[in-house]
Amino acid sequence: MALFFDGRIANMLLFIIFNGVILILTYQGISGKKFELKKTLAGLDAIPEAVGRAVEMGRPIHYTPGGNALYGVRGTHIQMGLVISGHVAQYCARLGGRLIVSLAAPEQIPLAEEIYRSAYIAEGQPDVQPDVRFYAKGDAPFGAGCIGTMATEKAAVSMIIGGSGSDFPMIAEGAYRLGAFQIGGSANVWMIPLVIACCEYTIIGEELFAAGAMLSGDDAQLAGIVASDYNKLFIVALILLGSLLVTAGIPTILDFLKL
Amino acid sequence: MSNFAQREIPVIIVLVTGLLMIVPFFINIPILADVSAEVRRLIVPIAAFALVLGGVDVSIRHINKVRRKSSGYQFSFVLLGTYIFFLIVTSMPGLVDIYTTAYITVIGRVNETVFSLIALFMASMAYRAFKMRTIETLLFGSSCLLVLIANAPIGEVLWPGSVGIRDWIMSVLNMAGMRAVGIGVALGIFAYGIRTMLGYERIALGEVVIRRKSRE
Repeated sequence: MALFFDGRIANMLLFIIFNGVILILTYQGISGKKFELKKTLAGLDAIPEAVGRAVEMGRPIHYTPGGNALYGVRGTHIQMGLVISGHVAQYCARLGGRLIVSLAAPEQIPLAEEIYRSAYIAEGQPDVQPDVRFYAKGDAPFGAGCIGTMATEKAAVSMIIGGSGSDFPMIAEGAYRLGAFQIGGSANVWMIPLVIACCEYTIIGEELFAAGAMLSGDDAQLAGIVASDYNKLFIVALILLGSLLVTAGIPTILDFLKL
Repeated sequence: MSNFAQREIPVIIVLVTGLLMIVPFFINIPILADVSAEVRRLIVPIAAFALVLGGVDVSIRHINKVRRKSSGYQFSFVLLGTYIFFLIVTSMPGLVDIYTTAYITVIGRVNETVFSLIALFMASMAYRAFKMRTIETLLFGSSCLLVLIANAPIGEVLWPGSVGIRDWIMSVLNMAGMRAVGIGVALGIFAYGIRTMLGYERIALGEVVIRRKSRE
């Protein structure tokens, strides 16, 4: 019996290389090396502005990380949506804004409530209760629930950041018709065009995963973003080299990837 | 509870579970594969617990709303009625037919009706997105228009060449963009996974990550 599965050896080597780079840079971050990012995310920078706007208008902020399950394919996207929502909750607590969060997966509820509770405690407001609302799973009922909440509560800001599916166009269009300021975020390639079309500010693709590290400001976490850039350079080099070699009739890299 | 139990044990659990998912994918060790499959099966009871929690949360919220007669309490009343109705018909084996009929004829139809709104919403979004103010939106709008023409049955009849252009846009430009985003997302998930397994990302424990910025 072979120790390694056929067809997964190259995957494993690439996995080790990519994670090795992340681990080395994370270790450097822990050891005290400073990582400065050259640019920030416009979508994250817009959060204080959005919360401030809602506070001035005396209306709430509606946030949803999407209607997918926490342990499904888009689980990591939902988790990042919840991380960013914690940041929004902190700004709301600081500026006096009211945050309404709509969820569709029941397993997200205790997690979300705990995140907002710790955010309010961090801002010295332990008495504020998080306003987390649960809607039926499924894009149509969840989308309709979010639109209904935004309409009845007259939300001034709508943030849909995380793992939305086809509930995204419903919620985003509903928010547009209510005149809400929108920040959208998605790593789902099918939803990215809709995010760009609908929202004033966006957090798309890998930016969603960089957001958690950026918000923390911790060098050990920022190292992961820098490492991802190095890994991307490596992949681009591999693609270019592979294309050139295959064109020249040398399928070495292609054969390696099939290992 | 000691700091170790509160902070370190969850991180150790995450690390061990993470490794249990990764290692059997690459290395052929049957016992590890069995343990990994067993851990994945644990999701079902955990999700069931969460489902009960969600159900209780919804009930409490809407019972309070009806009791206080707050705005829109009539809808809460309908929700609670539906909730109890489905709880009864799904708990009793003899009432499965009622459940199926109620689900298909009421919820299924309502679901389809609401979902069909997406067509209108997409058209409205497309109208906004196609406003050509910059070179990028011009390119975006032109490529969308070409794909739209080729996808419409009449488009192919009027201009047969549109199908070739659409296929090229979808399989070259679109695919390249999607793969680039996909690779970026995959690398982002790698970094996020490492952060979680090392205990830097503590979302699973409900902890907010903002430390430095909150004190600015």
